[in-house]
Amino acid sequence: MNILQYEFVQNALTAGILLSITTGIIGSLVVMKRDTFLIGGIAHASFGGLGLFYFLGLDPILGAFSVALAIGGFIGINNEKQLHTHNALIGVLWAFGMSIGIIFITITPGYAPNLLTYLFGDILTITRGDILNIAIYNIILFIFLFLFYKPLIVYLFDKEFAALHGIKVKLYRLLFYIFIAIAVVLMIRSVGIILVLALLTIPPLIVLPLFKRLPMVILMSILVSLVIFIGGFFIAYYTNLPTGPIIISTGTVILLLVRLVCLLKKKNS
Amino acid sequence: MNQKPLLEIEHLHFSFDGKLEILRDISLPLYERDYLVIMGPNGGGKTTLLKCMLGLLKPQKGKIIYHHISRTEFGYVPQFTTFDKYMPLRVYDFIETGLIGEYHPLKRRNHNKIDMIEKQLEAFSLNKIAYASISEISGGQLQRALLARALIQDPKVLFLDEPTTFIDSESRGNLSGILKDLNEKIAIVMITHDTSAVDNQVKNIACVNRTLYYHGRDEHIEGSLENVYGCPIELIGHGLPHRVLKEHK
Repeated sequence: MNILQYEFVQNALTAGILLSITTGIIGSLVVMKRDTFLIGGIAHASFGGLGLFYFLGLDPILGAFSVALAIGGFIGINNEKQLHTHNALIGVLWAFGMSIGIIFITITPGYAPNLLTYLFGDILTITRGDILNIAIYNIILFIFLFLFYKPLIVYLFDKEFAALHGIKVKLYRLLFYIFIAIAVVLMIRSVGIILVLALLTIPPLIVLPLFKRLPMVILMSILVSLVIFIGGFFIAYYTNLPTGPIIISTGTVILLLVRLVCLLKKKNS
Repeated sequence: MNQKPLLEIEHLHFSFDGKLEILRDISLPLYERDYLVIMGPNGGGKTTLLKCMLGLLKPQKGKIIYHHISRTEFGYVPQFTTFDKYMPLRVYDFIETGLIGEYHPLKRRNHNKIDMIEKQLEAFSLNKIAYASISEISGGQLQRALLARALIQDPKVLFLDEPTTFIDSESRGNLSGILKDLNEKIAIVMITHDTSAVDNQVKNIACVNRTLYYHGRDEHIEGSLENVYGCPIELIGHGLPHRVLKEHK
């Protein structure tokens, strides 16, 4: 029998392919910028917005979207030095967002949804609408990178040098975090908050020691995302285990293996 | 030396938080083909002063007057710590970032670009490591790559921030030679806390620790450095009398 004939499987795989492109690009840039903690903050804080909108009877993902955009914008407006002194604040935001999210969902009358769905997502419930959103996002991201890849990289790499050469560092910074915030929300909808962090970090970490050039790192991160996503999906399907955790575990095992091989190679040479 | 100033700092005050003054009442000219060394202890505000000169920081009081020169004509060699050495960039790509000022999203074809990069690779003996990652090259090689990037657009002034910190003595010698040749054509501003980086090419020395203690080049520098550092300082460098220390027995 062919599982590919089911529409939910087709949707899940299409979303997986499109999201791999998103995570490969955004993840590589985030890992390079060493901003993973900020992304965790955005993802978890947006859970608060999700809960609030759920309580108000509005679309929960819209709540997550508003909070993610607000925090992404806030991070984008403040400079790095200010943010480093407020590092602990991200931790507070992280915990507080999760807490009020759960409180709102709990006090909402009626049937309470499974919280695990939001934490780990449910790739099998992805709709055509979600796929369209991810596709539109990817197209905008492509256009942006096609036009501004080089200045963006110089900004990420050495922002003073960029500023000296007339690059609008503040604008790039704001755009960068807004792109991240939107990507995070798109991913929460389909793969859940915890998987957002995993998919953004694991593929670039696997690829980074193997390639010298950023375009290669991005391209290979996309491929690795795809392998983890599709591989994890089928493993989960045939073992009847939850998809999200299986995808993350698959990725982590590959990461450990690659790093181990790199370590052994280094020792032998 | 041509005494026409390229830029003049006038009564500059700078503070990050509005309370603690990092720089107090600094006035300093930079001349055409000048070789200005700004010395002083760590935390004395040298880098802050440099960033003000580059226009990266805005002083609260005072001003910097640029004469027939714009920021796009500045070359900048930052400290190794200001950028991320572990970015996946090859030496070639790294030097290419020096051309970012010319980047236009819709006019991307630039045939000169490759020639310019190749020229820099040649000039700074980086051909062999052009395709190596910047994380795997030595301090001296990275320093040359930084110089190649800073000079790719023929700047009128080259600013260097602590260029001798992470490089060995051979690379220091090379750097000194490169700067000497460059100074035939352009002005150089070098920041250092390392007194041995001052050699006989240097035309002007400014000692900065929050405020300017000394500017010029004559024999009284050592007494002035003592004021700046708060302890006796001995200058040892090329061109200045070398001291040979006796071996311990």
